[in-house]
Amino acid sequence: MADTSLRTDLRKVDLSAIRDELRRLWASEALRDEAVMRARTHNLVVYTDVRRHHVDDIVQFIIEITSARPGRVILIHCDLEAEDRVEGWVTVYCQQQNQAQVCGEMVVFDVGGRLGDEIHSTVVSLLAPDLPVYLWWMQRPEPDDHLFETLSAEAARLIVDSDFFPAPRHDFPALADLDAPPLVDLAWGKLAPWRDAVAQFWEIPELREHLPCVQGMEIRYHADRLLTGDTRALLLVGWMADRLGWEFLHAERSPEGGYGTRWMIAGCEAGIDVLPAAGVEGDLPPGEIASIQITVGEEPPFSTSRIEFIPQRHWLSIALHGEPTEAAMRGYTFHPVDARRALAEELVSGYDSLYPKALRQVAAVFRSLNRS
Amino acid sequence: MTLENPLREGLRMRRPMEPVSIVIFGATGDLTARIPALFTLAQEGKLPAAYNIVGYTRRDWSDDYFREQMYEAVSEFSRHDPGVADEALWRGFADNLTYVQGNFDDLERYRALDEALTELAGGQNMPDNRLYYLAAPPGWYETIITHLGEAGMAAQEDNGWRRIIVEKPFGHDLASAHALNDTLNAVFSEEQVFRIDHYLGKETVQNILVVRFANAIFEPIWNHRYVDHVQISVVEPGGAEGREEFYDQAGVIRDIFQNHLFQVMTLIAMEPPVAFEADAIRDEKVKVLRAIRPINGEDVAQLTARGQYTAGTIDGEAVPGYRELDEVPDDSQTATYGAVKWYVDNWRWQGVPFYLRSGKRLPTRVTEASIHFKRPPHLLFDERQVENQRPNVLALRIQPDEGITLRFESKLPGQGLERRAVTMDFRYGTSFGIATPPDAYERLLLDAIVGDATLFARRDEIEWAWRLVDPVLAAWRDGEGPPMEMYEAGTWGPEGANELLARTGRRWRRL
Repeated sequence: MADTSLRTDLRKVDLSAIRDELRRLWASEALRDEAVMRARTHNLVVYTDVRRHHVDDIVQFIIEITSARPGRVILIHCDLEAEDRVEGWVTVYCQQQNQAQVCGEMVVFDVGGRLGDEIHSTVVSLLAPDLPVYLWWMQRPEPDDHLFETLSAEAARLIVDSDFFPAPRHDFPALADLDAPPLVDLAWGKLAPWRDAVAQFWEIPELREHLPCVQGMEIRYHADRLLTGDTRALLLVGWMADRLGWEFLHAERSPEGGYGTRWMIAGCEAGIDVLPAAGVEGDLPPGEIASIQITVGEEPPFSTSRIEFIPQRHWLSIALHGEPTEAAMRGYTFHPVDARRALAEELVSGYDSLYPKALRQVAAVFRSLNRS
Repeated sequence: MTLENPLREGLRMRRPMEPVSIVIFGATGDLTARIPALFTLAQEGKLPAAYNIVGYTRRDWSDDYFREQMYEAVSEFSRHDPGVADEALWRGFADNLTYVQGNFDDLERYRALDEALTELAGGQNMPDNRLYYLAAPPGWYETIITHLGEAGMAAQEDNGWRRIIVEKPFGHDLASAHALNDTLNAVFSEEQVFRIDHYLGKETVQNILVVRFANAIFEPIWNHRYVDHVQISVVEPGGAEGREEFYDQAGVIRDIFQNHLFQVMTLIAMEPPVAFEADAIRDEKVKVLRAIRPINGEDVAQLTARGQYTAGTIDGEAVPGYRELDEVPDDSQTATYGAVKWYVDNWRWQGVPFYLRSGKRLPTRVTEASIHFKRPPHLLFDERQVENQRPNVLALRIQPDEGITLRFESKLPGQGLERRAVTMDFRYGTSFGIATPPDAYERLLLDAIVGDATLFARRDEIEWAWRLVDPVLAAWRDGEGPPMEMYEAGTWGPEGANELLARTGRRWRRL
């Protein structure tokens, strides 16, 4: 098990002395307990404009997330309504995982007022050379924002988490139109085991031949009290639509929350519904998918299969009913992916080019809803 | 024709795989590796949506008792402890465990097993794909294979494929390996056969290929012009306890050289394959084995060293000598340490010795391949330091603390040109934050389920390796080899091994 005791004490430092302070911190760590930073694989630049009293939580969250991936993190906290100011802090931290020690370093800028536009050159000067830059924009990125524009020019990837977009109907189309570095969505990363499950489902030989002619689907997701949390399920639909060549027709808001969407699949119109799950037990966060029901067949009687996550058992159950298959139950161990794991995966994996294609499909759904 | 699944493309986390029944012959004999590996795979959601694990042995066990035994094995050896993890996870796994009792030479019981497998697959409406795993004592291999053929259980059918995993040892010499392979290929085609050498499942062994062929800076100097020699070491502090009977028949050459050491050596020495595909890689490995200069007759005394450990101290604890073990004869001539100097007679490696060594009861557990480069052609600096000039070394550490180290000369700070050798370390754990590297068996089992034979040994690899070690074994047996030297447990082995390198001014890298 990893030792999660992290040294996260931030030291306030003059901006011009950040590099020296980092060097000094590493040297003192080395004298103390041989905690020498032996590897660095990336720069992670994080932007947030949350209220100031939340910054400590964000620092801790990012250190926990990145402690398994050695690199330099630069966190920029901007408060546009505050008076003009720039303050800097630095810290180094190490995590012991069995025999391996993974170390990271973080620079935090607390920026007030108009100086947010001026901080980019300081940030760029502190990037570790010759390593990729990941820019994690914790809000919806605004293309006209000067800081976003300058930092994204340095970035190899732009990371967002669409689970936290406040207005998906507008945010997704805007994201799809964004002229930015290759886009990474942590919500997409959280969806990975479900994409695996759906792909795996079609490995069942007697179902494979029906893959081109899906008759309908119903995806249930965990919703919060406001019935939000539907966008990850829509991304799953967008991914299937892109991979299987479905043509989007139209969409409407469902009275119970979620959406009903219509697609042209193999020359036939099919309904794909994205709906909140009713009475789901467990403490899963909003957005997590609960079940997928898939109806296939050339002609009636159709076969309906159900993939369902049972949180108490960490189990994904697959039930096949009726023609062309006889009733059968299958399943395997299933672990949902959280933001921490999604980001950790992102920092070591190659770019997933399927995401922008799925995003375009989801944007089309929202544009249709916005028109109606 | 099977339609492609477009949803497979671009998936990062799992390789889609078909439902399968895994039959473990000899499941009760060695519980340390396969079942724990399968449980870990199940817990991580890496097994197919439908799978069965069937144990087949002679013991009169029920399904429930088999599950209890497997639970204990998993508790002790799995990376994931079912006692610590959710109990439901174990139950989900245990539901897929079935036991079939039968002797390995009882054809009727194979037919019963066949029926049970057909029934299991039919009951779950899954294709009847089967992966047979030979975990039985090697003496039973040919019997089991033959009976699988006679019971009609090897032929691939429309409703399912058949594959077989064979564990080392693949015979005890060329003749027996050839006979085993003939038996295998009389029943299974070569594409159905997966010969496991678990070393190939280790991340860092696979990384040898990545380091060599995904980087442009190493390959230009990876040849006789720049490389002085290569050392490959597999050493361990453990003794032969627990497998004395097998070990006294096998010895270090059969146990380590013929398989693990040659696998690593071929990956170090091979030419770039035309593709990262099973046969392309295995073709190149076989070319290396074919190019290795055989060591015959009198040369064995000059190019090899051997030893056997006596009582000593490991980690502060007294340990008995090899001949003091219960099942080992008092006059055993089995080598527990071996060192061999090989040459690869091809364009790339002409004149570059490959020193391979392995031993038990050495001070530490390390597997490592190190490339020792030639000295600079002209030394600009203080000639008095020439003797101290240490050549560059690129060390690929396979276990433990997996990683890569490069040693090079650097100027000491200050006036003058004093130099010191320094190392630049890359460690997997530090760079990638790997808490527990995947177990080799887990990787190899998954590969076999999806039919990827890249990390499995092909028939010709096995037989060429035996061709090389048989003459060494014969010379050692017939008294033509070097003397058997006794070395104290906890030391670095016999002096003859040091002399093997010292004759040409070289020495073993300190591990």
